Amino acid sequence: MSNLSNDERNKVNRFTSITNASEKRAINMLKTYSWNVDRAIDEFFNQTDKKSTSFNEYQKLRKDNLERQKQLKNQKPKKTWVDRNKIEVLFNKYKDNETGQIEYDGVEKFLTQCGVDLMAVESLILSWHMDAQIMGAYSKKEFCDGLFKIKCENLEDLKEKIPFLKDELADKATFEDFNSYVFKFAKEDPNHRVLDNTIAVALWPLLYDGKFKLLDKWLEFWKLEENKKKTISEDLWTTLVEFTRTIKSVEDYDPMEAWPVMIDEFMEWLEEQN
Amino acid sequence: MNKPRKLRMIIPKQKLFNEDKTEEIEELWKTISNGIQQILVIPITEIDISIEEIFRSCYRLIEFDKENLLINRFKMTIEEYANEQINFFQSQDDSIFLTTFHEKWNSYRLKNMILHELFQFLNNMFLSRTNNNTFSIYQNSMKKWRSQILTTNDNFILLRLIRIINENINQERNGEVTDMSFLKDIIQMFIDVSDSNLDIYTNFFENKYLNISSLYYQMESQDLLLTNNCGIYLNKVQERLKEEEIRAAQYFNTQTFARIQSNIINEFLKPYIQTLMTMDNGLNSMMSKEDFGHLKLMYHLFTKVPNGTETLLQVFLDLHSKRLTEIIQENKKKIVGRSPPKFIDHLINQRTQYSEIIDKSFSKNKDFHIAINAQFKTLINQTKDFPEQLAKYLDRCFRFTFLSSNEEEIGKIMDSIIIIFSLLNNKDIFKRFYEQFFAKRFLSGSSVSENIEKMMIAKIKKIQGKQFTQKMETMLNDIHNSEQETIDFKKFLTEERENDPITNIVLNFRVLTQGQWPGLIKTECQLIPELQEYCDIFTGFYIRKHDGRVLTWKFSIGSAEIAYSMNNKKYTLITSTFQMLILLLLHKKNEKISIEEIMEETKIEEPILINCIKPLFHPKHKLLTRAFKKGKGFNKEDQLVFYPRFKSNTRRVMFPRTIRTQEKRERLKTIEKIHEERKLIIDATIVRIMKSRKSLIHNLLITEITSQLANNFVPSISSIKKRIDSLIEREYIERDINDIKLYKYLA
Repeated sequence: MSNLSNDERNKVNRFTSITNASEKRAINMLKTYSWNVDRAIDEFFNQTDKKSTSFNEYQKLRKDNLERQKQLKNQKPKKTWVDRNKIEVLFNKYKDNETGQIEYDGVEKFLTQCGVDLMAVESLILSWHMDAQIMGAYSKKEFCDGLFKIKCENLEDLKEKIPFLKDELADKATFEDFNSYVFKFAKEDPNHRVLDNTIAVALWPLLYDGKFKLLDKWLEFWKLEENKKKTISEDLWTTLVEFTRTIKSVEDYDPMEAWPVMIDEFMEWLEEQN
Repeated sequence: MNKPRKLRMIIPKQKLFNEDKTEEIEELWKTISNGIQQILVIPITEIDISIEEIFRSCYRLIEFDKENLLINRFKMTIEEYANEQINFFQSQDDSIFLTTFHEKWNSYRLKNMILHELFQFLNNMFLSRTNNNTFSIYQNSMKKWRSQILTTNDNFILLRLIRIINENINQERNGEVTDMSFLKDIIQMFIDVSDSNLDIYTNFFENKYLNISSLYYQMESQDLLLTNNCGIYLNKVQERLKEEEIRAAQYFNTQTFARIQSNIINEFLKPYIQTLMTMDNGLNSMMSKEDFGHLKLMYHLFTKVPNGTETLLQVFLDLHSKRLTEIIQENKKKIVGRSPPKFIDHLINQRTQYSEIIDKSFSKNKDFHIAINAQFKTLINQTKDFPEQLAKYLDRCFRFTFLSSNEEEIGKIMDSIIIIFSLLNNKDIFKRFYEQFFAKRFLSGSSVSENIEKMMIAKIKKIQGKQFTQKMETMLNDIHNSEQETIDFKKFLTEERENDPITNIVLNFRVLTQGQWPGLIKTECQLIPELQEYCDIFTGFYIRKHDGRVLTWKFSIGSAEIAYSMNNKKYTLITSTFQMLILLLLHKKNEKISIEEIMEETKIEEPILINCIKPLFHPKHKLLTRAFKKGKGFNKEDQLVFYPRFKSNTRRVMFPRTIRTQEKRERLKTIEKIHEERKLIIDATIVRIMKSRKSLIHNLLITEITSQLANNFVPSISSIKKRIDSLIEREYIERDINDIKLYKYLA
């Protein structure tokens, strides 16, 4: 929130207090709707309804959403303010006394206690909200600021919040933001321009679970002998999002369009398979 | 016929009779009637009546208001007369019937015309009185003839006439002699008795005529098809068309010709177009025999059939494509070899032939030209290594073929090559290989003539622009300048170094511009001292002359002519510079020399040296042999000697520079270089376009790139996409966040 104006910060707060959305989600929504708070809030609630999914999925989503909204209403009053000290206490529980950061062991413990698997997408989501720079470690600033932003003081808060954070990814802009973060995060070294095949193949299932019809085929493709050595560029990583949304089968695809070359090759291979 | 004739009559005054008019009227009528009868029955020359009297009587009757009586009696008279005629036609032989009918009709018609003319005044008079009925004697008589004669008895006579006519026409078609003198009049009769829609003519005569003709031609076409000769068939069709045209002009109404013509087309041509073309003596054989006349006829006739020319084009294209594929398959020789594939010759011939046919027989139809060119273009661009083969063919032309051709032939071949070149997709490959062959020709002096080379370059420059031919022009310039340098150098030698004993060797120096000549690989090489000294003198001379320039010696591309004798026979050996060094060293050593020693003296690297030596061992003109045979491969210890049984049929013996596998490797390298170059060109083009447009969507970018590069080569979409991906990665361009189809330039 540091690079936002006062006015914008206020708007973010207003948004989150009504929708209980995470800060990141709020920023993305507001950006998308030109910082018109009411419009953004309106769209936020509409979004879970308006999706181009099949009717059953739609019904399920609607049911889920309604249930959740009911849950939210029945919950104890939303937290609008959290105690930084409590967060710090939590941090100290896991920190490594030598480095002053939470290291790998601590992270593992922390996540397990939150009910999150280290290798699951939720762990990435948390890192994202924290803006963590490396995998397997949280600095004090990252941890504390992150938990503050998502308004969690303790493990119970987190356990409650985490599914909510995951649902936020249904929003297009939020997901794209998350996706870009994961790329940077996975690269680790900012001087590298590409991602290794193995890392990408491990991450994609987490990101696209349930969202990408051709995911299994996509992974199979990248595990082929000739593709194992190939690296994934940022361009490919980002355009993949659009790809998963628009292309469901071979018929939808037009190789004359602007897709990157690897996607063209994937579709070619896919067609041969049939 | 209907010219109103004014009659001036002098009618004496008459007393009006009030009583006994009927008698008077009958009297008057009798006069008239007599007159009519006379005209009708007696031959014209013998008519002896008083026209005046008749007119007077008519006039009187009209005064008595007896116009209707007059008219009715007129009608009746003519009717009676017509009825009489019919008896003549009852039971007669066809030919007699015909002649009689013709006669009778003619006289009937003529006489009624006369009557009509004579009594025209009645018409005029009536017009002045009533505004309705106009009594035309002629029209009336025609009606009578029609109803009394032609159409009575269920059109008996009419049908009979038509039958006879058609029989006669068919006889004429069969080539028999028939008398058709009656036909014109009878047809005219049909027209005359018809109403305004030409009903008798069209419904009775014409229909029947067309039907019978169709039948006739149907049978004829079947018979002709059996002969299985397309040419004869087409000739016949043309003949029949002409025949009908003449017949129609002579006898029929204009509409009939159009109808009979389409009749013929339908019966003779339309159903059989495919059959005709694919017959044994059909399109294919006509084309190979260059039967332009028949081809022209075929085209001309097929234009009359709906979709005829399209079908012809289809079959024509099929033949073209078959023949082209045949040529390409038949001549798949290996690409690296001495003799280039002959099929370029065949292709050129093919092209000329088809072009000629279109020009001479298919009335230069543009669609045909376009279709053939398109097909040709597709096929040659699908053929593997075609641009290279074309360049190789051109090389051969410059080395040998043009030697024995006159200017016209050379021009023709060049023009054909230029046309084929312009159809190439990958012109850059052709360019590279052309440059390479060009360089080799000029360095070894094996081109037929510099002027011819210049001609070719000029022709290419016209189509491609001067950048394309820039390298070759520089090379030509270099050669020119080198000649000048050589002259100057010789002068310099005679003037300033008179006493130097280097004049035994004739050295030709060539000064080449760096970067413009292909294949200048740097290799280490040290000359024998005499040659080296010579070269140094030249270097000194040149640098003094051109201040600031630097010369680097490239001995790898030089060539040498060596005077050699073995077994009392004198030869001139043509070798590369390296090979020359080897031979000179061996000669100096006198008996044998090892490869290692040569390496020491010349500093040439082992693999390159061995590749130079191998051609000298070739069984065709084995020059060297090894002192101790040690198996297949060469190695450093091998001792080389002059082969004592060397012989050659020719005085001048050429030795290849290096072995085939080396040539193959060089060739692959060239192709690789071309592909690398293309990547860079595409990159540069993309950046240039994006820089000027700032942002552009994907499809437009592709179109723009393709059109800018079209003159050079045709890039595949996937290769363009790869370059785009690479440029995105290198952050020259980026995708728009909201629209992945939009690219933006990154400054």
